[in-house]
Amino acid sequence: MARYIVKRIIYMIISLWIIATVTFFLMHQLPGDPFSDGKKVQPEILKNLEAKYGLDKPLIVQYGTFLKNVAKGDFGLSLKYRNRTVNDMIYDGFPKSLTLGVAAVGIGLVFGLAFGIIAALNNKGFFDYFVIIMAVIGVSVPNFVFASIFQYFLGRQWALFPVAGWKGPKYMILPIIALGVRLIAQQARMMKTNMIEVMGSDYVKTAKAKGLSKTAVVRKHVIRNSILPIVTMLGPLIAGIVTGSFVIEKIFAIPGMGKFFVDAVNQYDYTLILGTTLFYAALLIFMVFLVDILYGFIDPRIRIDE
Amino acid sequence: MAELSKDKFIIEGKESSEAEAIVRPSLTYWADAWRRLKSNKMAIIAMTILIIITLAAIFAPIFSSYDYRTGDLLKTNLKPSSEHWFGTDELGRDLYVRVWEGTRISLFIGIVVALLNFTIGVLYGGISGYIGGSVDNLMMRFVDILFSIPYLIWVIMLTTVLGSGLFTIIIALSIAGWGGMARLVRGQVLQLKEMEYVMAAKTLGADAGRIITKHLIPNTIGVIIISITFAVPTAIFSEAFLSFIGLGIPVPNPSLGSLSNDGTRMLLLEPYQLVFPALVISAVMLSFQIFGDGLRDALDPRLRQ
Repeated sequence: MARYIVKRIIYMIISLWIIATVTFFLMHQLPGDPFSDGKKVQPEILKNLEAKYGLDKPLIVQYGTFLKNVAKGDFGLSLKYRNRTVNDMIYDGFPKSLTLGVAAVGIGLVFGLAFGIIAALNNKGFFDYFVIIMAVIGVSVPNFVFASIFQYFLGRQWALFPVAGWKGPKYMILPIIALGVRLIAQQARMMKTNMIEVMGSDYVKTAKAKGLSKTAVVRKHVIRNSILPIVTMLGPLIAGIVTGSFVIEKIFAIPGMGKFFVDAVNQYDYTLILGTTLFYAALLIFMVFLVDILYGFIDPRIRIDE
Repeated sequence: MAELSKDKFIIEGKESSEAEAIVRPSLTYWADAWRRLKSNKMAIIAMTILIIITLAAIFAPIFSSYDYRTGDLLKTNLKPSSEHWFGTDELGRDLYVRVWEGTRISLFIGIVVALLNFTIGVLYGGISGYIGGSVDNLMMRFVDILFSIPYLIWVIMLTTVLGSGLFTIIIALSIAGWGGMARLVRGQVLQLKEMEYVMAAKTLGADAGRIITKHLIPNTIGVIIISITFAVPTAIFSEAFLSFIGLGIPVPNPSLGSLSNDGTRMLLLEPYQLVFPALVISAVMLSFQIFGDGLRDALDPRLRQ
């Protein structure tokens, strides 16, 4: 186990280094520059600005400084928002995105698993078909459509919730649901498939044969074993949530990480793009790593060391 | 006792000499798959919807009297009417034409990207799996690292660098998207190349090219087609996402994503502008999903859920 963890950590560092290098050189291929805003800037001013941000040095030197700073966890100054560091902006935006993401994963798991379980127990019944149809719709309708529908009906027509903004718990409900719908659908579908599979297995037959009550069989054997594969899906799932929140944050005008990232991309703010990309990549790689380790503990049948 | 003669007996039922005859016509893999697909009503409905949407995307812009680029500034934000079936947008352009033109562009992106992913993925995964050993290890490690970056972040980076345009978006989506296909094909090849019939072919002196084209590819084609079917909506969705954050198809060309984006901006004032593109994109995604599920059951019954 320890050897496996060390190996994985080394891979994680190599991955991050490659991502940092690729993004760094890609960013310096970008057309346009962050200072001009389309207007003409005096050459002297441009020179001063470039010197301030170290853009006048040769690329390889910039790359060296960049790597050194990143290793220390310092992503540098934003080029667009004068005198704000990228770290500052991540510090500012990330908690909002995190709240959104965690809450969405939360409702996704709770409702998704619940629907999946009910559908499986009611296999081929009315509720089963209802859940299947809902799940297919939830997976295939883009989340901006859901977000807009919620915004229009719940926000505007019936005025139950604020239409947009981020000023308190009331503002969070619509974006969280909009982000969570897809998750609920995915989880419900997967849980149902797993349950049906487990219910056909020999150990469930044995449990029934020894006379356990139906609830005990479902609770102790079926559900426990059906949840396991879902844990492995958590890593990619969180990745989906992160990028999904770009769209949701834009629609609901939430000043989170996603909004900063999108703005940075549209404004050629190299350092901010670099910083946020690396932050996202690190976060996701770490989540996947965590989930894999966790899985080894939850399911002793998995032998990780191979 | 009466004498038993042969003519007192008649043979009832089948001639034993015909018992071994194959009465039913032998079905090829494709005929068999089609037979299974046909019996799946939902999949057939989804397929019909996809065909209708594709035909509309191809022909509706040709037969309409409006142009998707030019608007009439006297007729902005009109509600749907007999003149403008889906209404007009804030520049007075006919939304009916724009929606179908957008569908055409989105479908084009989806299909081309899926095919490119397929080509790169099959080549890379096939080579990696077939050679095996340390080459395979190295090649797959590379894929692992490259694709540990979330797909959409990759796509955003690439489109920012390449610039936004139809072909750069296609290139960006293809570069970012072939990892899954490569892994899938490699897994299949690794599994298949240990099979007895491959060994038999090798023993008989078949070279690598023959084994790959005659044995490995035909046996993986079902799984590959299924994943292509699911790659199309993913690409359409990614393009919509890019349009949404301002990196999509440049104006005045529409795509389902950029139309939906325009629609959400106008949502609180003119909701119908979102309804039509959102309906079409949802119908496309939904149909691909259902059709893909049906295709999976038809091509590879072992995977039936």
